[in-house]
Amino acid sequence: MVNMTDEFADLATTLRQLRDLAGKSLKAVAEPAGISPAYLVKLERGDVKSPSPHVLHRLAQTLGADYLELMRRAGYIVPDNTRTGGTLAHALSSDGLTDEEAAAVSAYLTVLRRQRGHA
Amino acid sequence: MLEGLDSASDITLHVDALLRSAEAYDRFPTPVDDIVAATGLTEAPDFVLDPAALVLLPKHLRTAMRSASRKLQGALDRRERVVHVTDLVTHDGKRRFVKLHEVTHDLLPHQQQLLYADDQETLSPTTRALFEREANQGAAELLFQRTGFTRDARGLAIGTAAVVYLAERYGSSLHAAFRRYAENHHQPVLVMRLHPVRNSDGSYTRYEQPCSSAWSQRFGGPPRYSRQLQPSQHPFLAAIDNPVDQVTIDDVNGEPVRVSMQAFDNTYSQFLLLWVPAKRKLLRGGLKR
Repeated sequence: MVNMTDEFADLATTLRQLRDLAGKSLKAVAEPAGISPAYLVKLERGDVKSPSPHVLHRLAQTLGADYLELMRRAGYIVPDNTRTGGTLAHALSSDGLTDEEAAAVSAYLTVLRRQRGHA
Repeated sequence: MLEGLDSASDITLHVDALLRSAEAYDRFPTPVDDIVAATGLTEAPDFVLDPAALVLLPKHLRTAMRSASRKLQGALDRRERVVHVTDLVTHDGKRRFVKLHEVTHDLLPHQQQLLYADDQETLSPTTRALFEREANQGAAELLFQRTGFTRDARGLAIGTAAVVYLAERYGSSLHAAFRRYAENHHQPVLVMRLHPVRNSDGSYTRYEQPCSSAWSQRFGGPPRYSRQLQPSQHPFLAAIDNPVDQVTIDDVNGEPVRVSMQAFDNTYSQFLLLWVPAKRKLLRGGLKR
């Protein structure tokens, strides 16, 4: 996996740097990622700031990059301000849980798992 | 609708592969447990609030957990790859949908990878909402075997009886079946889902009104209705109480169109099905003058 050396770079700069590092043309990256070279240019220029997560996943695969890091740079993964954290360990289906309630469910399911000997 | 998502082709690809590996195509009701098993996920026993586990939580989380347990329908434990469905979901069709919703969170690689995120990270609200829409759509694609439901609907006369039949055939809730029916029908079809009981002022509370693309084209985009609907302003509401089977609605060009309608009440919701009847062809290729 390619290291993202500039930890403060935005998504557009990161994508451009990753492609330069891989020594690949626009077409060589865009095609396997299922997007057009023109769209990749827009991403690299920052003209498109919110690409779909599934596009970022394909780009990460093509560029050998860390998908979650691209998600962070796109602002899709953000710091968890709940006191407990760990909310991404579970996907919850609900009728409008608050952040605190989602954190509580995650913590509860973790306790339950440990109790049942799956820790 | 699937077409409304950028990830539609990804969802289709993964759903198709899963339906094939579970040998679920053309089996009725859709074999949800086989689909879950084909993913390698396991199902936990019914999720109920266990006092012995609750007491081990920090105090501030105990209160939050109690309120959460009144809202939670299902959960996917990404690390243990376990699906939970809560005892709040009592309807079998709804339980099957919730399971497949959680399966989709695991099925789509760009969602599954969240397993490796740090404990002190979460999703932005818009990303969370997008992933929920994807999971709902994936669940519908699995439960209705992609194009299977729509293909079956095409062979049936339009009406609430067709929707009830299809819900039973695929093992879905009526709510999910009405939505699927409206969104994917090849003819102009609209479903209006209302609260089953009238308000004190005589109005109905509207929840949603999915429609087919043919309806949008005919009547100028998805309909815009207010949340409270008065029968005096919307004559189609008369179908709920009276044997009225047709009303006139102006199309996008202002031309009046006769629209058929039927009502169906399942005690949770009042469904109004509206559609434009197909013109009968008397001769192949139409009448020649």
